[in-house]
Amino acid sequence: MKLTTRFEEQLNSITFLLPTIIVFSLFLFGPILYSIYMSFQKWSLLTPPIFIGFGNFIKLFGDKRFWESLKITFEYSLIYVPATTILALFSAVLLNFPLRGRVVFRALFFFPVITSTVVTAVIWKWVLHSDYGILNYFIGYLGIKPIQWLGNPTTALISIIIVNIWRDFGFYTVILLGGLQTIPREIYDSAIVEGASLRQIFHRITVPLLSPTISVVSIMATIFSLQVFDTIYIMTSGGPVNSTTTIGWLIYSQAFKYREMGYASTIGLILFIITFIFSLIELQVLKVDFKY
Amino acid sequence: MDTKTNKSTKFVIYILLGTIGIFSIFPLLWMLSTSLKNTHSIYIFPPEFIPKAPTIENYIFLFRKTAFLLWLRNSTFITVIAISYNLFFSSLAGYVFAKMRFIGKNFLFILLLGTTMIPYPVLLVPVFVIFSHLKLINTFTGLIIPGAANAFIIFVMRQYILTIPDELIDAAKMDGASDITIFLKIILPLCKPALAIAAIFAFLWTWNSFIWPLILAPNNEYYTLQIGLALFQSYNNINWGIVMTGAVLSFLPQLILYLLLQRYFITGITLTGLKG
Repeated sequence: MKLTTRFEEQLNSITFLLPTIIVFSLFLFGPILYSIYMSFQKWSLLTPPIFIGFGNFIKLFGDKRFWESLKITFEYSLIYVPATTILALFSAVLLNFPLRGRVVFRALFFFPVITSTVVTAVIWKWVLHSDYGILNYFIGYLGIKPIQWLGNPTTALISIIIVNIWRDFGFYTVILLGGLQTIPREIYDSAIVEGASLRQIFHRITVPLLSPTISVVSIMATIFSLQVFDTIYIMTSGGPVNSTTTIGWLIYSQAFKYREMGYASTIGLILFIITFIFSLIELQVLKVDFKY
Repeated sequence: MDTKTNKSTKFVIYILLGTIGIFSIFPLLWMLSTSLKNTHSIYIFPPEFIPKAPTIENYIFLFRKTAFLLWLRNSTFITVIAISYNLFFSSLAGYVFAKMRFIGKNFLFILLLGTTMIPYPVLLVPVFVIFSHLKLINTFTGLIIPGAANAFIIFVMRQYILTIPDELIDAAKMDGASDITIFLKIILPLCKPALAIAAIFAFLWTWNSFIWPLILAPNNEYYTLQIGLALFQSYNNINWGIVMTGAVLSFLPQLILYLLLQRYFITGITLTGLKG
């Protein structure tokens, strides 16, 4: 009797999970395995795939575009991650003061987060427009000549970074605010009684006690930054002169412009490995969190 | 801290909050302002922040002269089906992982959670090829699948269902209730707060999705709002009034949802930070 109920529970569990597992197999597990298979093929979709062993990997290591896109992706991460984490930390600390109207500010900071990447990209394309953009109008007041934000290789990447910081920082702010609210108010109160300055409180209390959350946020930001794509598609399409060709864009253009399906899969796998390494770092950091 | 420094500190904090607030909201207000201008006043110099002669001609144009309503219908259809499937089966999966015993449970759960680490550009090519083989390109099924399951949502549901006492389930079992009856009659009605969080994330994920409809449904009869909007801005002769109007209208649903369910948004994101 007991055995049959056990068996029934096993059977029911699998049945209940089946609709979810089917979707995961079609959209995640299957594709990951398939991309490993594809990375060993030369395949343009029009002709049958040809097995070329490690050909794609060898090609990759000698491909200047790949190294260039890796460099651009890391440049993007190196600016985006600290900038967005600091802005979010700063916002969260400000929002944590018991002031009237902070709920309103929190809502304001959060509006960009719910904006889709496409809407974000088109709004900013208009704001950054070289002839009629409102930003060039504003900087005109400072005596600065109009800048071709997206049309110039030196400013295109930084423009994309700012746009993504705009969209994302409110998300991290809310996570950090959640972390801040776990710090007991008494600690602050006693620090104030002891005569500590706001700066001292920030450096001696807030940052050390919040460091696990800060780590989670910065590593999440790193992982997001490695896959940036949507805003680039709409705002610059990888240009000008490939200055915004990140790994994400390189994969897309290799696959859907040049029909190099096998080669694009190989780049994808490398991106997966890079992200995996960062995720391992994340797990390490979270272990610190548990000890704490 | 005497009251005087307290007051000036407060003032500084408000100034800083205000600056970040303007940075956040200004582009959205500028979008709204542009959408209410005619073709002439968009390019006027100096720019009008509040349109002197607001017009809804862009809105009329969008509904009458473009496929906007078709895109809206597609987005709505895809989102509704994907969310329904996702919420129902993810809470069922959450229930299984929280309350049922079976061989391989932990392994499967870790495997599912592990998918949150997959960067989506990795999936572009294999998903496209697999969906081509299965004849899912240019079908609604193909457009729905990416939003139909999500590890984060399963995680949220499981965490929530773990807090439901086992006694409730045991008592129902005594009365001879089957697993599915327990789920439908006891678990699901108790899950409303978690379902609200899950619904928000499922909605944003599918409604805002760009890359999947882009590669999975290149036929214009399957265009979603995001694809249509991207198409508008790709024309050589961009009409910024129309583009901004499309942006306003596609932003409206999540704005309303956000204003109604703000509390759940915040709880949901705080959970993200606790993940792992």
